[in-house]
Amino acid sequence: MKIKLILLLPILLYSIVANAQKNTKKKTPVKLIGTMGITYEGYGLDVKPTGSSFYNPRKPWNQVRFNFAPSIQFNEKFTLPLNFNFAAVATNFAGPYAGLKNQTVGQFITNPMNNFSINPKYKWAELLLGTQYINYSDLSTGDIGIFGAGFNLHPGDFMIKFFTGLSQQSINYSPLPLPNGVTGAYKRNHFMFQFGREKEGNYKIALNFSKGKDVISSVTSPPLLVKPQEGFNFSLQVDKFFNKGWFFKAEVGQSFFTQDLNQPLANVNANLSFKPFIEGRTSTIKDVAAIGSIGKKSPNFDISYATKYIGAGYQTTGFPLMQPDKWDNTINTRFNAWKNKINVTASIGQRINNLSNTSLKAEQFIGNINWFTQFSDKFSLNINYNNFGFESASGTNPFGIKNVSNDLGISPTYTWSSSTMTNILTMSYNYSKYDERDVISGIVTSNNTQTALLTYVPVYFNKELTPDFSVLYFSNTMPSFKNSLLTFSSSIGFPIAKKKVQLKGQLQYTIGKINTFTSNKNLIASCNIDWKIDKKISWNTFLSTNYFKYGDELGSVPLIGANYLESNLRTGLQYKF
Amino acid sequence: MKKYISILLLTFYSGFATAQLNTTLEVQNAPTAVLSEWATKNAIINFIVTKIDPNPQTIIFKTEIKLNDGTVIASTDVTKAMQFVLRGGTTVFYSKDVMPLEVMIFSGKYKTTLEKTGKLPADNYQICVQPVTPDTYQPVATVKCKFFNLVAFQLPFLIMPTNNAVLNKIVAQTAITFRWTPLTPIAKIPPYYRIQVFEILSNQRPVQALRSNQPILDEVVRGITQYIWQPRLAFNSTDSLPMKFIWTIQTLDENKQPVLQTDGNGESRSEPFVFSISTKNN
Repeated sequence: MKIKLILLLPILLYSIVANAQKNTKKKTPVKLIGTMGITYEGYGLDVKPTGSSFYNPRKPWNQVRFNFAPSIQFNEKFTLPLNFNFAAVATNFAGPYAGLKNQTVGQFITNPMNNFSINPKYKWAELLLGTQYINYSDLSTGDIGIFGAGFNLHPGDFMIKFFTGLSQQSINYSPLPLPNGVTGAYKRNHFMFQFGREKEGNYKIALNFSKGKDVISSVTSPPLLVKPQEGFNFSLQVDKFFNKGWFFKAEVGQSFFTQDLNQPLANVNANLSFKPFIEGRTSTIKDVAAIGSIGKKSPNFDISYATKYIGAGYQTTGFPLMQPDKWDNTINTRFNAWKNKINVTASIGQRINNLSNTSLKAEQFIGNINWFTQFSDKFSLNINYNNFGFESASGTNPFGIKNVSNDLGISPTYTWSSSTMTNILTMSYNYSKYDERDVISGIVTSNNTQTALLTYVPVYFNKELTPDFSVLYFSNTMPSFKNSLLTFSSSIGFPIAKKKVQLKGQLQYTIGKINTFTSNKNLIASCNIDWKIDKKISWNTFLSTNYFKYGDELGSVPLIGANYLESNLRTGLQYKF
Repeated sequence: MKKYISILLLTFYSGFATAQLNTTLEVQNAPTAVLSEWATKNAIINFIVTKIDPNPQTIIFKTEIKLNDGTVIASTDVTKAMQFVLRGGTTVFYSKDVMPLEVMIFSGKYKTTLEKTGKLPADNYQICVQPVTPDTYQPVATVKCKFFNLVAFQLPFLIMPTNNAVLNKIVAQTAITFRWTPLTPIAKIPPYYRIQVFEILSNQRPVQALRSNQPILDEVVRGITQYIWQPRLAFNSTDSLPMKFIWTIQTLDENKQPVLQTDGNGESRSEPFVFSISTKNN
């Protein structure tokens, strides 16, 4: 029922717009831009021996997605963008909606899989209705989709923004369906507010507020692992852009976060409150965070220093996956030299984790450089190097944690041409060494990976064919383990039907070998068919199939030679307004 | 002389009163470092009180948390402590009774750390519990102490593919190497790391994809911090845009439950990274 209603809505809106367009044609023409379409994705998996569990499906069997995203421009001052983007079947695997099958209308509308938004804008005033991903700043809110209402006002240099709504409906925990059941979630309400001044390309100063709170009484069967939470934070953001490309950006924030709303009020620690926005409980934590960067940008030279400190107790409901207790410092640069024939990007820095001393402080070194040189019209070379080191004491163990990752990549490209074609030959070699120290024995285990790739791309001047050919060797070794892969790949693209249909096919065959097991084989075939039916309608289809046959690495009969065939079809009709 | 008689009587009274209650304190060796969680986990502290005579007696608990050297870092605000009426028989009290956080006063850096993190610094501590009278705070039983150790874990940080990395299509179709830092400090029992990769569809935000799509990789490994994924997928999209993915690590304990259930997102998921696949084959 809800699907039908939602399907009818775009049609109704489209009719209104079409009518408005017709009526106002003689006055000021109403412009309609944007897209609408429908996409179907089908997935198939055939495992042999039948019923074996060595390989599981990784996509929904069938999925239909709809998008309706027109923007109606009534005149220069008034626009009405809509964005209805939703799937017929929910497939949530992580987060609050995980495992949920039969949804109420409210749960469907607020499901992160779906977007329903209307944002009418008149001059400097914008109304926000429906699902919005409000991004005020890096320390306040930005990652979470919220269904609700609000506004963005930008009179002159001033800006005033407000939004309120809910990011998740209440979902009762259920042990069914097996195996994982429904995780469950409390209904979470949010509000956020920003005010300040901004002149694009010159400066921005803003004060951000953000709050989210779970409603404990919203569920009758509470989630087993997730606690009801409440978070409030505010931040001050200052950006300034100077002449000659110099810039300065900074933000400092303070957060109050209650990890479990069921806990009693914090009687003797009253400073955990920030009334009237949040009342401190025994499970409330509060902390600060700061980010900043300063640098210079120009066509041939960039340099910047960036720092990011997230206190151990800094948490926001607007960035639920933000990881606290870290301090990053990096210097980044980019420059062009030798008449722009050399392009270099590099960064070096350090991350310190566990600053709070509640655990053991850990240090990470991060360094990388990418150096590209165009030696001549025919020959270029790209070299990149990444180093990552992680070091920490490991509690009562005799040895500390030490993980070091070194990656070196060398990639020369040779190009030569004739009167009819250009030939591009690229060789790429990457050596990756990953050392891990055992904290009990102190023994360092090296995990070495080598990848060599050779690609040949002929480019024809008078033909529509675009083929390419590649061969790749991959090897991963560590004590008592070796995995090697040899891949042959080729693709070809060409137009048909007076260039209205663009075809592209790819074949990839891989032979893999683990230790002394017999080799496994993998064939991937894929095809893209892009048909431009007319100026406004296009039909894009992607088909792929993946056949994998194991050697004897899965064990004895009947798993020797076990195999699976996986297929995927994605096809979509798109209409451009 | 009166003074000596008073002291003698007081000593006699204390000895008598103490003799009416038998107490036992049981504390987990390594409880969760998040102190507010203690109130919901009855297994962390068991304070067993056996009263011999049946007459009702009102008590409060005076609890102290000390360092190994005896330095007191937290104690009950006895003026606000909850009163309990004991009658004959045995009663078991839990963390929420003997150490309610709302009436515990922490000092110095321990107060600061607790306010910031909800935890105490990783260290060895001892907890001492003593029933006292609610009016004069006189002991009614001997003080009982037990040692415990707090370890606060920090979730892994993702290393590679780095955030916003662009991978070569042919290489990525053959193998993608994922690396992350270990759970720190090292747990006695190696944790499980669940690595998940989600495709970001063209109309989706990265975290939206994580919260809504079926993961195309969902593998659990134990103890190791590297996973080589052979995707066996053709990384072609229908709209000619680079395919994008978001990946994360979920850290699970030996029962395959999230190691940190109140910290952060409650799912023990590390801050995710995004990577994309180059549309070119070379």
